[in-house]
Amino acid sequence: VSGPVDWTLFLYPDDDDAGCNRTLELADLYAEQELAGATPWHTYPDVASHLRSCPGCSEDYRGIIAAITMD
Amino acid sequence: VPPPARPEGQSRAHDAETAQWLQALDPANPQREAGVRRLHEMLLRVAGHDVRRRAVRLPTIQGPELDDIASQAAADAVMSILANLDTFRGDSRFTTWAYKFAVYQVGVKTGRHFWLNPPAALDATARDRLPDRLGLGPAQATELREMVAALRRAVDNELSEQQRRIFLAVVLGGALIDTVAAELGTTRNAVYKSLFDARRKLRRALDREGFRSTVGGEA
Repeated sequence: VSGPVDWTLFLYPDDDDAGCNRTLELADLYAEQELAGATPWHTYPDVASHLRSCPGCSEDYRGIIAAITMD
Repeated sequence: VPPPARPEGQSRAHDAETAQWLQALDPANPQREAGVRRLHEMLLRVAGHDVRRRAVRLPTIQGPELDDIASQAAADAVMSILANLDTFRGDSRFTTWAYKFAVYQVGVKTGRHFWLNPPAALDATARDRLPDRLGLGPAQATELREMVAALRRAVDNELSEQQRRIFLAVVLGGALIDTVAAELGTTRNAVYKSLFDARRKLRRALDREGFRSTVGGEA
């Protein structure tokens, strides 16, 4: 079950939102860049926005980060 | 500044491990079956780890079910990877790209499982939970009582039936977005888009009722 949502964020969706498909397409690259200390949120602000507001994709993203760091 | 997009089909040089994986999984490789087995073993490990990570928040999934979900996710991820191998362009390491498939499958399957086994709390007399689900404490909820009432009206009057159903399930019921997608027989992206459009409608309704300055956000 997901937790409470951030209501101000909820009521003001970002028009520059990548959506689930593009986010999933870039999630591996984004994760590697973040773990390497880069700032993928600057390169892909639309993906960053989506990860802030989509519980499914943000959960997957945490899973990818966990899998990489599990190695 | 974002880097320029690479022309379609142009890959960067692969790291050594990635090159080994691509060779091992090459359809022309007579030893490919061994490579596929190794891929499955790796993804089973990742899926097992991921399903247990998620299970902390999904108490209805326990014991052998965790292993079943991990097993199904790993098998489906292998199939997807083999079917999409020609789309791998080397933007990340092969293993990271492959993990993505396994993690995604775990998300879909835990969502579907949750739908098949909904906890008792996920009934749907949910409007009273709105302040709580929006993270408003008792004091703030009182202060914003009128705004919350307007939001309830907007949910009832402005949203389409499908948007309202998704809103109630995800925002008020706390359902996983993949669970709702499974229930509706659609994709995560479609559910997200519907929720996104619902949020815009609710914002416009609140703006019309004069709550723009109350809820912050746009000037």
